[in-house]
Amino acid sequence: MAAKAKRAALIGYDCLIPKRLEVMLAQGGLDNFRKFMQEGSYIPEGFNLPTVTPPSWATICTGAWPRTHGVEDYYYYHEGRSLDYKETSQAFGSSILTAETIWDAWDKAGKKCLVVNYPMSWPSKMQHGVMIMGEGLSPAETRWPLHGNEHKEYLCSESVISTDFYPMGSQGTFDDAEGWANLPEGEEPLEMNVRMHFKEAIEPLEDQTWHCLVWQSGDEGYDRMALCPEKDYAKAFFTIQLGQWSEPAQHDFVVKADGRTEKGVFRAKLMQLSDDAEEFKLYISGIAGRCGFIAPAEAAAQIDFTKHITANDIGLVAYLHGIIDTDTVCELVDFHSAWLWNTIESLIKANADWDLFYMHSHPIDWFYHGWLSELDSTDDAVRTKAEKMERYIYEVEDRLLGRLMDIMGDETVMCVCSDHGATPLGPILNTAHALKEAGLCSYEPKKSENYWDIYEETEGFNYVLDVSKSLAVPQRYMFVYVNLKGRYPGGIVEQEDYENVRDRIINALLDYKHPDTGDRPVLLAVRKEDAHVFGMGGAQAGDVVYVLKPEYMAEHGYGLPTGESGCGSLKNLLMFRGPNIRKGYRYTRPRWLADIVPTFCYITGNPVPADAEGAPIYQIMENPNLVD
Amino acid sequence: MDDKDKIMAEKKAILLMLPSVALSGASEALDKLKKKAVLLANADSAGLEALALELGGKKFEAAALEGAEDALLVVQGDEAALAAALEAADRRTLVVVAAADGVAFYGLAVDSKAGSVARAVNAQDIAVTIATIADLPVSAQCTGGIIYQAMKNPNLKLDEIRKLKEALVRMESVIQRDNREPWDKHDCA
Repeated sequence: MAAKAKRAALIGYDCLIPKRLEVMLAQGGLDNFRKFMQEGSYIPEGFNLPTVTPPSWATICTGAWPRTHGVEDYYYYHEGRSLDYKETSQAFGSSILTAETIWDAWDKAGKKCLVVNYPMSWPSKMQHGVMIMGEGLSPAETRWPLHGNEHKEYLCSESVISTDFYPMGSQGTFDDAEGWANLPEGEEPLEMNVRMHFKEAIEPLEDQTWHCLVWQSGDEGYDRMALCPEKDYAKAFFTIQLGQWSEPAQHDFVVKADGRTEKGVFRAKLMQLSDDAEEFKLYISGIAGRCGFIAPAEAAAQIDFTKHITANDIGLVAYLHGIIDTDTVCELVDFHSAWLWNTIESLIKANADWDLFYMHSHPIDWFYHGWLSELDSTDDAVRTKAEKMERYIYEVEDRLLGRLMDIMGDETVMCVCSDHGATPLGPILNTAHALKEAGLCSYEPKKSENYWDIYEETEGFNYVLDVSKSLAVPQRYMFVYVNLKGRYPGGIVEQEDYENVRDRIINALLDYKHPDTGDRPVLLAVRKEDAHVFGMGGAQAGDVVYVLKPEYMAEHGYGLPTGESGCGSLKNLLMFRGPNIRKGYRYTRPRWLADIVPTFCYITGNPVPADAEGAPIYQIMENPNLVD
Repeated sequence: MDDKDKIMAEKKAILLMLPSVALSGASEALDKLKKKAVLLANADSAGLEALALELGGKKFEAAALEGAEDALLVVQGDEAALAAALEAADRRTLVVVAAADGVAFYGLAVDSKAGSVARAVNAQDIAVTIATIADLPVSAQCTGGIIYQAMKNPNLKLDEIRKLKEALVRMESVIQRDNREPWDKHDCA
């Protein structure tokens, strides 16, 4: 094996928790993670801050601290706008980065980089490489500059056709099938005609009318269904039975803006069909496109997109709405991973001369947001079910890792990492309440308890934080701003009072006792410039940066990476394998995600990005003295 | 018709008063009816038409059934009326036939596999069963007993309420998700 690696590959698993991985490895299975550790070096004390997705992936691709790369939270504050958090956007994509990425640095040196679904990567600036859109969590989706949890995707998101009401999709009833061609053999066919609105499309699509057809194949009532783009069974997308997934179906969709037609692929699962067809529920996956999310665009020809779906968010929203069950979520994890692998394998085979590979996979994070607290349940049945689901998803990622190890070969230095961990949901700190108690913040809950009033009158925000009457404004996960006059719309604090107000904010946060526990939830509250010590405090930080104790976490985002609570931990996974990497080595000192890029550059002898601040992890190298 | 009326009007009932027709007879219309109907031979339908009108029923000629939007249509006639009613009925229509030798329930919410029901019923029982299935308001003078034995799901109303409650929970969960405060959990989805 050569002293230096020829290539480098970063395999990113969002929210993979080393502590949980070790528990499952001790129980057996996950042979590819085990193999990776045996053949490489494992760093169980992986650190980063803040412990949330966009800043961490920004660090992993730049080697820079958040204060330098300009992403310090899940959300992004647009300078000059009101400090009201409604004005913030989800912090994804390359346009907000203020540090050079490793792929841009290597691209300038003529290297070929492949970047797949990496949250901070899109749009691409590369001349030589290929990029699959990463501007959110799932491939081919964007969250920039969208508010809250909004997203858009190519071509559009999941849906449901049902006889019951669900907050997405279409509701309808069956009537006698009329005007059909080529009806299947069977008793009393019924139809439901559905106006399909394709929501959350990056490029809005024309509505279509689709037709559900159900019939009785025997004497036991309605047991077959077909979804058809017109009233001709011969042209059905598919025919399925209760509990069955369709095969991938491909169809044409018209883009509203220019009238062009795009191919889209989707699958559907029949979740419910009663024998009288009075109860019916068909889950329809998001419709996966095949262009618009690849740079350069002609690279799309390297990939066959006809057999896979992106399965954005593994159906978590559909699950939260009661449309699908956990088994179906797991099946969607399989589909999501299959799309990723098909794309990766195709790109690597079509670009055998690649030098750098960066990818990100999100299912583990979605799982922990949905089920982490159940892993700590005292109800054996609840806990066991969650553990089974957790293992299932880790096994999907394990199979992906095995395929990646095979295809990378022996000349590639590989790093497998996660961006943060998670801890079960604890008592939540309402920062605005803490500041109000100290007379720093004007904050009133909405008086109306009527959900519809709240929804309609406030467009989704059920409290009033009056910026124009607040000395201090909490914003995003870890920040409080001094509401300076002349700097922020509605600012009321004179410049000469800045330090005094800032001291009052820090005291208020540190003194505050949580009403549920009587204990202090804030672990650390410092001036912005003091946060430079742990890599934060840049232009995107507030005037005060604070950190919560792990037991007060809303899974992740507010705590130090050393935090542990219940079954969870906020540390990130960090392990390397390949040329010059020590085998079977457990390196127990803390290392930061900022060290990945310098390690890649050092071991491969490739250019260091302009803003990298981490250091090569010499201790995991068989020969750390590579400099002649 | 406002939205509330439209929702309620999704269900429809046709009451056929057919004193000259015997359910025991045979014809294309009767055969179609009996294939999926529940038959109540021990039924006294005296006064049923008046009770149906009290439920808000409207008298119709059989020829005018097709396309009629009223929630309860009351038709006097013969086998031709039966044929017209079965033709006009869709999946959300309850058809009740008061014949010379008994009463038949057919269509919406009816247990098509029940065959015949021995229970003795009177016009009050038939009327309140129509009202229950077709969502029609009853008066305080109602003394009938719902003929659960003719219904596919005797807990039809409980299940309808359950579904509405579940739908409400789903709506509330969406609103709560959209209303999350900045310090609440986000779920990356």
